[in-house]
Amino acid sequence: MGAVQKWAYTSVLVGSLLLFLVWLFGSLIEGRIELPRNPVLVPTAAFGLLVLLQVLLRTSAYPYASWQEWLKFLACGLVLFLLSACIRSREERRLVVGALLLVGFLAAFMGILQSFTVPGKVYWVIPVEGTPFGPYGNRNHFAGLMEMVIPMSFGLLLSGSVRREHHPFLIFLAVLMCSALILSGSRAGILAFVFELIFFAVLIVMVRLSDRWLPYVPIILLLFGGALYWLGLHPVLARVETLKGIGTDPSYQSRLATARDTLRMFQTHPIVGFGLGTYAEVFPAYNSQVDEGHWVHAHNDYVELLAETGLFGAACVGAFLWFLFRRGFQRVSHTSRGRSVISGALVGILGLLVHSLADFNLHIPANALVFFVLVSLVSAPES
Amino acid sequence: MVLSIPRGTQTASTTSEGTTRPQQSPGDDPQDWIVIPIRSLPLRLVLFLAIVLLASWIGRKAIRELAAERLAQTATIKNLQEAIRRVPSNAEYHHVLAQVLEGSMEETDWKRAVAEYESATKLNPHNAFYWLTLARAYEVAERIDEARHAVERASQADPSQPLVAWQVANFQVRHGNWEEALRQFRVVLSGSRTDPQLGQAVFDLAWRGTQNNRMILNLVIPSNSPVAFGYMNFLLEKGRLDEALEAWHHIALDRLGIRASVVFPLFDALIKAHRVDEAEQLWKQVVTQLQFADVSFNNRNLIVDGSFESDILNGGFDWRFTPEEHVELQFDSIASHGGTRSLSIAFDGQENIDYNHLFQLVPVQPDTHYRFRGWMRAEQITTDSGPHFEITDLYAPSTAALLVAGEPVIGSSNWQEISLEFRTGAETRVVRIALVRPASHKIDNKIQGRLWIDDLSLQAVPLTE
Repeated sequence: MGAVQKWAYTSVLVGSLLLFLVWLFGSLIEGRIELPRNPVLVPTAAFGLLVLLQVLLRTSAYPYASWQEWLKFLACGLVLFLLSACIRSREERRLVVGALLLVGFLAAFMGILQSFTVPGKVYWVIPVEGTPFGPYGNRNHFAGLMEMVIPMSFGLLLSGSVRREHHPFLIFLAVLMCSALILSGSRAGILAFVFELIFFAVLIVMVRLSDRWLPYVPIILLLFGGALYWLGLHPVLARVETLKGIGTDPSYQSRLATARDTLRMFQTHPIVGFGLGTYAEVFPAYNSQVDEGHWVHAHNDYVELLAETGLFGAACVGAFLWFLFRRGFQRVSHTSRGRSVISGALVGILGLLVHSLADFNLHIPANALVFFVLVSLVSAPES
Repeated sequence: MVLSIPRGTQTASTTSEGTTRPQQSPGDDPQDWIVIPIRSLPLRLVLFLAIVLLASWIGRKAIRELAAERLAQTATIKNLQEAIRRVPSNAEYHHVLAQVLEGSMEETDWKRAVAEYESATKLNPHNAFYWLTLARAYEVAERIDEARHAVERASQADPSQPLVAWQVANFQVRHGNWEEALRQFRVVLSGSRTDPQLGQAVFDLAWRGTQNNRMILNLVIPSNSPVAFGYMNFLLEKGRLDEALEAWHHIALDRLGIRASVVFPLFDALIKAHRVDEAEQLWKQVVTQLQFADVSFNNRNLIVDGSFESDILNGGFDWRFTPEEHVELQFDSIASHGGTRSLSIAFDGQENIDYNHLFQLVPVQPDTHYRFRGWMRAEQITTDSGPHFEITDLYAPSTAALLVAGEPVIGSSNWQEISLEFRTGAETRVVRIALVRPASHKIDNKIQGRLWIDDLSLQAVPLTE
């Protein structure tokens, strides 16, 4: 699931193209095409067009790399469009949420089991350098998935649309995923999750999201604390302890320097950037740190976006986020139907955006897909 | 085809969430769709086919690229050529093919290799390693100007990568451009995980090529990096004491934490060369930097840490000791004469030891009268040859080195003061104050017992005393 190899995103691309053709076929049989009036689709299409032009006009520093990124973006864009066009009812929305929760559950369960049996190997057999967790080669990307999915479970609990006898299972799911997130030891992931909890609490209070939340809090906290105690908290606490000295942490200092160098990169090509996907090729010329390693990503998706797509790309993403959050807050504030689930999706999106300040989750195909699924839940028109 | 954009109607809102019944948002139109009716069948067919063709083209291209990647994993000429045929814009395939062709003995393959390297750099001009391999290929083909240009491009593409800098530096060395080579060596040395052997190779190459210490220090050796100590010790090994001192002065001590042990080789080299004044200056710098509390340069006592209140540095003008299997040295905070602790030396009775392993070098003035004082305590020291202090002239021949020796300590005794006086010779600059125990010549010769020493001092004594 956390795969970044070509076979992974090629299969997603081919699948999404096929689904798109099926949708188109169905539409044409009916004699009409119904395009969802989803405001985020326009900036998404504009961004895709920008990258395509970078490839075709060869303004990209390495057109082949930009082409690969365009294919991945196309897959995500198609998924966003199809979900916007096809999620029409509350039941369909719940199906999508259910699928997300299933993915989250499997990944969390696998992650916890793997960390106690064969840490360092994905699916118990594939050795991976670095810090794998669950199906991901990097614990920070696993945390990214959990950040997006955990709020969905809270949202579903608060929605009142799930029968009471299913609530214990939802709580178990939430506790399991929270425990997996903490156990992964991803500092940025844990911080983003804390931010999510605060934001969710603010939402509950400000828009009077639900009055059902109070009984769940002590239950979840108790179970969560018990799970962590049982799983073993010491290595995690030691990892979180390092946040105290983050200012002098060499990894943090290095990322700060990289971000500064990336902004210098942006200043060289400020309008359209060097081309999506070209960071790894171009950055070495701007790297001020003597380093035997190789920076494939800036570990900050925002500065990397600026450097690769310039102000045009940043404007597209800015518009995308503006429309998304405007739609989301409108729905949460006004719409009665499914607003708890929408809140969960919004919180999940926000958590990942916070995490993107220190990582590159949106470059992991699985996480990018889940992100766009959440976007569709928030922004897709309701019938 | 008619484009119709129907407006939705407001519906009554009901909710099962919460106690409030929020109103539906004005912008939240239940029929939020753009409906495009396409009644004409031929138009539907054309549209569908067009999009199917486009989607097929994209999907097919993606699958071909995946297949090409699989082919390229087995890097044979045939596979790589096929991969390039399917995906000509992937620079890496051209680069790998060039490397495979380079391994061939055929001249035509060599020419093709150069062409493939050129293709790789055209497709991706930002990869330093592509330029380096192209430079190497040009160099072999004796196209030196083009090789030089390729090396410059490599350096521009990745100026901070030590591996790139190493290759660029070696190219510059081969072609006599030493100044540029030294600049690249600096990058090599600045890598945080620099291999010590690589560091030695850089020093050796830079030294052999230039023999210019100042140039190397200015262009290669970062003043705020531990690498500077490595270079200093490299020069010492070559017997280049003046250059090593110059390297020491190049080091920015205020920005670089040091351990005393990295400086001791320089110190010992100065002592060995009879350059005692410089050794003293070096010692002052080291102890000031380390904030070695027990050294006071205004103190009349020339012995450093005579009360053993600080940890032993084991070098410089501090105490030095060589571990000996049958002798145990440790600080004793219970039995001390002055201060908080003394040094205890325990003999285990297993060996007839010739002990000379604990000593201190002390700078002195020639033709001067000195008094050495100290306190000793003994517990059941056996044999006829007991431990005692000896003071020798470090630079005198061994037969004439001894300046004064104390009485051997045997048996048990409480704290007793020892006092030894001596006069330095006309050439004496450094004395060696050592605790010694010569081997015994008797049958009962395996020394056992414990000795404590504390409050040692050496002071110049005016002639009137």
